[in-house]
Amino acid sequence: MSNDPLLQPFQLKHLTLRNRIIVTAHEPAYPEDGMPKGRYRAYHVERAKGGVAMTMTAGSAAVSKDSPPVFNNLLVYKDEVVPWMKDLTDAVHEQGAAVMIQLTHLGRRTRWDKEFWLPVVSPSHRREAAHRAFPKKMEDWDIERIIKDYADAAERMKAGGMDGIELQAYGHLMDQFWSPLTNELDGPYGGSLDNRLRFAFDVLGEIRNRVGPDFIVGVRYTGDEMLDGGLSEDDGLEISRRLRDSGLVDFLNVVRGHIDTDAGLTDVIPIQGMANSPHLDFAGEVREATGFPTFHAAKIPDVATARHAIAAGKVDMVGMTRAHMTDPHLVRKIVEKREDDIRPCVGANYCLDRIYQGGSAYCIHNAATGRELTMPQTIAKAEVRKKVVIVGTGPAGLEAARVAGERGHDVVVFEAASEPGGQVRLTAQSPRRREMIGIIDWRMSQCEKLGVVFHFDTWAEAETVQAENPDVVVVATGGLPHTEVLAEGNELVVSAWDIISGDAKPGDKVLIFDDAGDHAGLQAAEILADAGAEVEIMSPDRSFAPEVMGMNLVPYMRSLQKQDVTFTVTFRLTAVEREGGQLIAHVGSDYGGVAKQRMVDQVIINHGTIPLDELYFDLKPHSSNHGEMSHDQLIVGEPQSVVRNPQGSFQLFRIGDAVAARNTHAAIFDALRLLKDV
Amino acid sequence: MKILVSVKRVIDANLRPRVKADGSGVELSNVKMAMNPFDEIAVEEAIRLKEAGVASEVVAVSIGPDKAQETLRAALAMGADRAILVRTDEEVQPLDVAKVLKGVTEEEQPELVMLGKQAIDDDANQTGQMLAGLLGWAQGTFASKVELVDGKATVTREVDTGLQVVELRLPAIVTTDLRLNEPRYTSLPNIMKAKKKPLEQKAPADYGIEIRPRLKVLRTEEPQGRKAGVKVGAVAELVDKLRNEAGVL
Repeated sequence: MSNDPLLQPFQLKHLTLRNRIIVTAHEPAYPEDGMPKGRYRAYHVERAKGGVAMTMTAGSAAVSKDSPPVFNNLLVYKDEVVPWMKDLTDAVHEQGAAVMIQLTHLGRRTRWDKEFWLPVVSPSHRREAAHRAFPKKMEDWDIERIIKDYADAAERMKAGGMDGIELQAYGHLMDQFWSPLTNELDGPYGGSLDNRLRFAFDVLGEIRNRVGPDFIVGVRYTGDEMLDGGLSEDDGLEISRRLRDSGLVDFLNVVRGHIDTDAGLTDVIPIQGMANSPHLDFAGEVREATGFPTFHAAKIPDVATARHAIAAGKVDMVGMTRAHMTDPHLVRKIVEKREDDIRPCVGANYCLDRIYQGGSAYCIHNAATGRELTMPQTIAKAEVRKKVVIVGTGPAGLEAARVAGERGHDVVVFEAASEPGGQVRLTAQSPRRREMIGIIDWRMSQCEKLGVVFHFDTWAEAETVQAENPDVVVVATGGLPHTEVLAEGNELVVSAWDIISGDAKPGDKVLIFDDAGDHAGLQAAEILADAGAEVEIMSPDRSFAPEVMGMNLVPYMRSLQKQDVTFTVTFRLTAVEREGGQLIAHVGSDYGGVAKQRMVDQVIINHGTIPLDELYFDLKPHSSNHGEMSHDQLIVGEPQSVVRNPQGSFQLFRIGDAVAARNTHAAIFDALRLLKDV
Repeated sequence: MKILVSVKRVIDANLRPRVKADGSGVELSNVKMAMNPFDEIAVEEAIRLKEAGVASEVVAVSIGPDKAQETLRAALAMGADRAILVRTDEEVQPLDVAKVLKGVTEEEQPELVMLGKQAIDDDANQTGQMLAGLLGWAQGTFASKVELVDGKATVTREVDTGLQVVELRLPAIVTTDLRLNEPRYTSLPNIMKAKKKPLEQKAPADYGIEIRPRLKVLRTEEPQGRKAGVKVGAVAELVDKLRNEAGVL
């Protein structure tokens, strides 16, 4: 048996967990009608196959009708969830992993304008900033029915064959009772710590009455709200001891912080550019103070840190949740001593941010995650070996190269730059985005193992490509910044790329017109502000940087607000003209009737990219399909078979931003779904 | 003022080189090649001197096969104005490099020639010094700082005992060390601009040079693998081992 601390089994009451790595609760928003159907099951089964010890399903499965999901969570207040849960549980067990579920009542952390239009409830009228609902202050019958709802839901989960449950108590109803900041009740459920904890223990007691002693019950809770007047670390340690001493729970799963704002949430679940494992030592203090099984997750993206967490006795089970979005086979690769092959989580947090904005979680650079029913996590070999020529080593080109290499094809890649990465390398120039380069580095090391041949510093022309006698050509040449959006003065502006790359020196008084709303605009703003410029970011949208999304915005705001960067929404830059050494920026509005001016010395435009498609159009007439991609075949997952030119000697495909300006995930998904069938 | 910068195409410094099965050298087929990192520093410094208004033109030169054009294009994308490839398929050793560069220098008449202090493939660290000798020019090697004022170059050199500052009368040779600068990120728009910059092809014979290797590689071996360490129980044991086993105390 291995002596790797991560691979030692752990005995949790009657349950043996096969190693020390777990996927903690997170709702990827894959339920259908609130039920864990095929897609949901396939997602968890894939992680079980990959070797994880336990997967905690359902972030925040709703126990009550007045706890409606804000995106798309499991509805465990319905009896019909039981058979679905049973199917999932059986399938996960078959792969040797344990499976539990997180139950909750969201309290004020939701909205009332959902399915049943019931008022949101909390132990006070205080509103949560993130979800904006003004709650009803709970009365006795609210408390009674919700205690019953929890117990009913726990019973359903036991009937579904699950190994256990965990109750959520950070930012949800349970700890809204705990925290003096959100509990204004008198009497038995408000006031002293004893009273504020009463709701939780009533819930736990009722659950135990229903499920008996042989069902595992844990609590995932904040051990320190890190808010003035909120639960302190001392409170957290006291709560930890009381949970242990209650005899009602089997494990503690501790987090630190508060989640009532985007900023708070991001400190609890840090993203790229922020410190790794910031709360691990704190989790260690909880374990030391209680001597009780302790679980913890918070930006532990790498195996070395996870191993340290176990070896140093910080925790009993280490959560690598986002790391498993990126590589569901992480544990298997540790077992097989192939840690170098683990696809690294780069902390882009596309998964989490997208739940709110796009409806379901996807990994920025694993397009198979959340698509397990149609996309392979392990690429099968092709029956026929083909010559595949790829142009471009951005995320699209490199994913195409990797997948084609895994298919066993003879793969040749051309790149104009000296280094791979395309726009990912550009974005990684900013220190807070540096981890992004993991997307490229991992693919390069995989491609090297697969024997993919690269030609750097090579501007591929049609003849360069044709000289390779390819069967398939993939043009992934990306794009160039598109700045020609003004009625006049396009020649007077620079792009956000010019600032990030260092090609343009920062001005003193700068207007950034950003209607792409992605990272580039904010990165440029940060570089400019750091260089001492007075910066205004202008967007014609109702909010700025909409593509950056909630948690990703947090570090930017912390930097930009301090530097007095100003944000102007609902205005549009229309033209720029030179006057003396200055520039006059003419500003209008899509709402009409406005003509303003700004005097600045630099204007930056962030308007996405325009495809670099010359090579594609040069190759098009020589290809058998004239570049046409059958969308139906692409969606169904069949090989492309369009023939428009029988004389053509190769199939030609264009992917990523070479088609239209999109994002990293889109580029990688383009490549995966096309090449998996080549 | 014109600056000539020489660049060499070498195995990417980030890769772990593999020795060929027959021990005749390092495996270079299907291996990522890149500009010698010390040469990249030289190019960067030359471009910075141009951006500062000290230099007027930066010319990059490389000696090697057609593929060396890729490395010159990289130098052009960084900001060099034009490039010269002295084309040869022969193995070119430091003395021949220096002789060819002498020819290029006499034709181009730069006031400063910048080279990396050594190439990371053969680590010879000879070319700059040989070129200075052949031209009879002053040399400032292992530069960590270069200032050009009034027809003179003040070069801070990294030497074993610390830093040494030398003043050179121009024209001169400067070889660049690691800490001189951090080469820039090369943007796609600049790579596109570099496509249109002139790249002239020459042959060693144009300078009256016949490439003739004088050194013969007898054997190439990989370094021995690192041996497993031992854990010591106490400071005294560590000191004992350092003194009696490692012999370093």
